Amino acid sequence: MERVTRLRRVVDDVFGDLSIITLLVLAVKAIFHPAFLIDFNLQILLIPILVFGAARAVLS
Amino acid sequence: MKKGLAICVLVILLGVGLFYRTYSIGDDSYWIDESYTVLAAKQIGEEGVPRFDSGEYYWRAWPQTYALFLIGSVFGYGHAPMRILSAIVGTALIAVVFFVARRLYGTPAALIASGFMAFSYYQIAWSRQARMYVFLEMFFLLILYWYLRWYEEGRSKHLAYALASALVAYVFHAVALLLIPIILAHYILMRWRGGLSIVRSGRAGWRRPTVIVCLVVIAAVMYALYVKFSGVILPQDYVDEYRVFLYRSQQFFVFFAAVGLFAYPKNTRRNLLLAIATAGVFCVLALLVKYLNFRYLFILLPLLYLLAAQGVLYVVARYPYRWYRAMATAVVVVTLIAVGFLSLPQSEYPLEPMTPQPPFAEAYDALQGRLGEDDLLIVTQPAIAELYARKPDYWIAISYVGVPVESAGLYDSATLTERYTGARTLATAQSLERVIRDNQGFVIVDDMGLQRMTNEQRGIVLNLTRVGVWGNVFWSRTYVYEFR
Repeated sequence: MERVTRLRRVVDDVFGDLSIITLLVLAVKAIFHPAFLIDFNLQILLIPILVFGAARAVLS
Repeated sequence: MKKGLAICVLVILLGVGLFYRTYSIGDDSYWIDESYTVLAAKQIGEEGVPRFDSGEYYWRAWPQTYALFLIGSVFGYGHAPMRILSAIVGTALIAVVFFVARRLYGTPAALIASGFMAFSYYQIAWSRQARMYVFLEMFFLLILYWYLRWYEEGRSKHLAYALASALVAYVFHAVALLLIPIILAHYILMRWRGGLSIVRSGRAGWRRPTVIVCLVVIAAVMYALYVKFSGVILPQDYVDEYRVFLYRSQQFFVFFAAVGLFAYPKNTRRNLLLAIATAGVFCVLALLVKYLNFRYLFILLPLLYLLAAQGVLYVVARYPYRWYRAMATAVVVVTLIAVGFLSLPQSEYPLEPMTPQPPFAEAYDALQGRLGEDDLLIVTQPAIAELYARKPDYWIAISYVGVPVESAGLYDSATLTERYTGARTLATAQSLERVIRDNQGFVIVDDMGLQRMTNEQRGIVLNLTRVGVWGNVFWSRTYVYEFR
């Protein structure tokens, strides 16, 4: 039980951080148009968001 | 948040939304589809029913058509009176989203979602058209809302509201039927005792991962089958086109919808319906609908915004510090400005790729006084001609829908009458050449018309005397040619 609680907390934290990182990446790309982000396929960010989000839903 | 304050913010959003939706609403010319709606409304005055001169009935979205007839009878069939109804419904949709979201997700998420609705380019653009899409969108959302209420509360009146919304949505557009299998899928998924209920309740320790693994395997197998057989077992494949369009035009919201989907575990079951509805409609449009029409994705935007609102709220409220929340809010607003989401109102809104919006009104205005009774009017958009000048004498047969004109059902091959106006059809270059040689008059075409003519037809038109060109953007220009 304790292990599940700990795992849930870790997943929660990762999901939360990912969401903030997503906002920052979108903001930096939209405002500064840096070359490394223009070429970078941002869609890849969706994968960890969905994976950790689904894990969060299952664990909660 | 205090209820009064939230309502005040909503009223401000409604005011701003109405301003954006009505700003210079009469400036733009009618585009092709609008001309069918407006012409059908006008025909009610003559026929009592929306029936074109060709004999074809136009029952799609008939409540709107009758309403436009009433408006037209009082205020005339100008651009602004014909579009104002959509603008009002589009504005009302902001309030509908607010009340739906408030009930499902709380006031802060409701305010964010209605803010997205108020400023969304596509919401504004489609709310300025004398077309039915914004009506469809409203009832599409209401179906899902009343179904959710029924599912959660079990009160049969909610089911009745959902069915009534489905019926009204269907009257506006048959695409509403897509929701029936989607709702069924959601119902079965949530009530399926051996399936997701195990995941949800967490009853059986070892069965939970097994079910998840099974679901992942099934999804992988389905994807593999799709990749192997797409184009063989499925009639269409517009997945990439729709995906790229949605991703490019709504990038911010796609990411935050993904966050919002799982942001608040208590909302996940409700969000699952929005996700299934979005994915289901997307897949059917991309895989089973014959024509590539990005406008159908428009009805999914409220669902995307409802999810994204939760995502934004989650990020902004991630830490309880006031400085963090203020900074996160500022970053969200600046990002939305930087991606062009928050922009000044425009008088022209390009709708979607490949939908021509030429300035026909200006071209026909220029013809006033020049178009004599003995002059023939030969056009590629006959309903437009009938609205701005008179019923055209001939229609140059072109396909509007990306399939050969012979199989597009745009004219009766026996009587050679065009589908809506009943104008005589010039289906071949020889017939066009013969008419032009023996008569005098004008040919009015747009870029799409020129592109979709046969080479011979185009050669004949381009050899005529050009009176003028209106519009600057390829695919949205009108050309007038004269022959004497």
